Amino acid sequence: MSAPILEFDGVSKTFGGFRAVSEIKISLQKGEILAVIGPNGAGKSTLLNMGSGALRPTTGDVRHEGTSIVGYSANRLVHRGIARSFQITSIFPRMTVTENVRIALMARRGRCRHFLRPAHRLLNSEVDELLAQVRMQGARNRLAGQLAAGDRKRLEFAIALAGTPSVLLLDEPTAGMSGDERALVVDVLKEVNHRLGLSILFTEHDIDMVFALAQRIAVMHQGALIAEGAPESVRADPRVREVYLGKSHSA
Amino acid sequence: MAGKSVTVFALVVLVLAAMPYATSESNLFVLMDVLIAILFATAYNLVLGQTGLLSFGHAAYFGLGAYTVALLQGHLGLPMLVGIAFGPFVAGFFAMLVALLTVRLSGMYFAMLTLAFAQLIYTIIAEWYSFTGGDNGLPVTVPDYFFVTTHYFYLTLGIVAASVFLLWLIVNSPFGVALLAIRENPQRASFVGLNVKLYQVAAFTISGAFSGLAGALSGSLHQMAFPSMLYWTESAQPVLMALAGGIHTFFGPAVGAAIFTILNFYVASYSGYPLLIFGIVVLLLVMFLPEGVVGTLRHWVSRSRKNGPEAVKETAPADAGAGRGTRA
Repeated sequence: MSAPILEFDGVSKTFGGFRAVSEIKISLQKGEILAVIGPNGAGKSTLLNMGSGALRPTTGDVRHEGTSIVGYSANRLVHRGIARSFQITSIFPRMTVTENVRIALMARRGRCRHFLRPAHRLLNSEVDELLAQVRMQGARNRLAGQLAAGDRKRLEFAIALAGTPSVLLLDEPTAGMSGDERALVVDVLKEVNHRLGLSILFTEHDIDMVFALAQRIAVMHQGALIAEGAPESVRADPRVREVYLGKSHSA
Repeated sequence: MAGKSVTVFALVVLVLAAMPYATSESNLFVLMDVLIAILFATAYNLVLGQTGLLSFGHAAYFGLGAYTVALLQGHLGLPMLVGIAFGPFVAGFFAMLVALLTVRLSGMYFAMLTLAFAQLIYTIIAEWYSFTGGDNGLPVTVPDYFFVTTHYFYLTLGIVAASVFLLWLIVNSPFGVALLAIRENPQRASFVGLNVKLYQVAAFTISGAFSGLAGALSGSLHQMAFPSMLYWTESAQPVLMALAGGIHTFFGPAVGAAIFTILNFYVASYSGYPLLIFGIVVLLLVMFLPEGVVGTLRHWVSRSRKNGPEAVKETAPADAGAGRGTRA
């Protein structure tokens, strides 16, 4: 078997005396959709931050296609093909939807070092393609900061998908979305996974969303990994039911 | 949009080029100060409005430009034009050094540190008598040809127009858009693959270089480089000019610079407190036109042109932008 596309190997992160993530060993296989679930404070976002260069693990190793990426900056990891979205949607509010996607494309292609040619005509067809992928062609010229929450999230996906990454790290991709929007996001993610072979690791609170999308599920609790496996086996795991699923899905 | 800006810009340059035929020599002197201030403020805004960094030490780069001309002439006997050509490189080099040491800090800390480095440069220049002449300043000898006011006016106009045009190209280039993205959201900027610090250093360096060019022109115009050109109170000028004109517009700082310099000239002729007057003007502008003169005009124009549901859409960024820009 080839090296996993992203691998957390005994990774821990402590903030002061608090151990947010403890000895996590988990890997994302090429072309796989993996969900990391767990109650608030379980360490899911911290794990994602360590996979995307936002945080450096206290101990342990993170590898991308077999190469250690500990200490790599976020922008360097983007150029290795690791893209992400944030729990609190992160976009460029005073730029238009088109400009948001275009800057992501230009940055990914290393074209931002051009000083003297106009930017506004560059890469328009690719920008349109990305917007079509998240079904946002209609909002092209709107200011990103004025979009509704669900639309902003979709714009953030388009930004993350710019330049065809190989790994997507999504922190609660459907937080604050309506049911219809959720279904759309599930469709979009399944499509990029199927068509482009993108590997996706996401955290999520909405259990229906998790079971609709994930091919494998990892469950975190108080910084540790307590279960991992196919959706059915995780659903049946008594410890998982106790710490997590039990609360909302016992009925 | 872009084409229209170029047309207006070309028209303004043409009108200015006709000024030696239309106005007195003393007015030409004021106009040259205006042109130099326009370059300084426009260069400064690459850092403030475009990148979202509040620098409070740009007088240092302006002054370094002037001292480059004076020092190259005084110590190596190089002519004024050579000094003017080197000014931006010397100022840009120092700006780069300062930026490398300061961009990791944010907001107020960045502003204070740029101020501290500027004061450091000021102190060295003001105290190093054997090299810089200390607080006596250092004279610049203008060659005979440029001693003719009209000739120096065209030199200034040519350099300022070319530099402002270059800055306009930079702002609208992919690099300029990357700076805008960094201002808008540094976190997202690094997660689309931009090396944020590198771009901030580059913006600061370019801004410092063009400020130095403005300073070189100023030193040559007044035939003197003074330490007071680098003093921290001078660093307030481009900030106020940019704010008055509108930091989220490209030509706003130029308009602010013109208002500031002309007001300064007439107020200084009639009262001893030009900065006080200008402080009050800026205060009123910031309170009632938070987007600056040009920013506010732009909103009026787009509102009256669209006059419908679109108008609402256009006004919103003005509200959202009121307290922004200076976020670092």
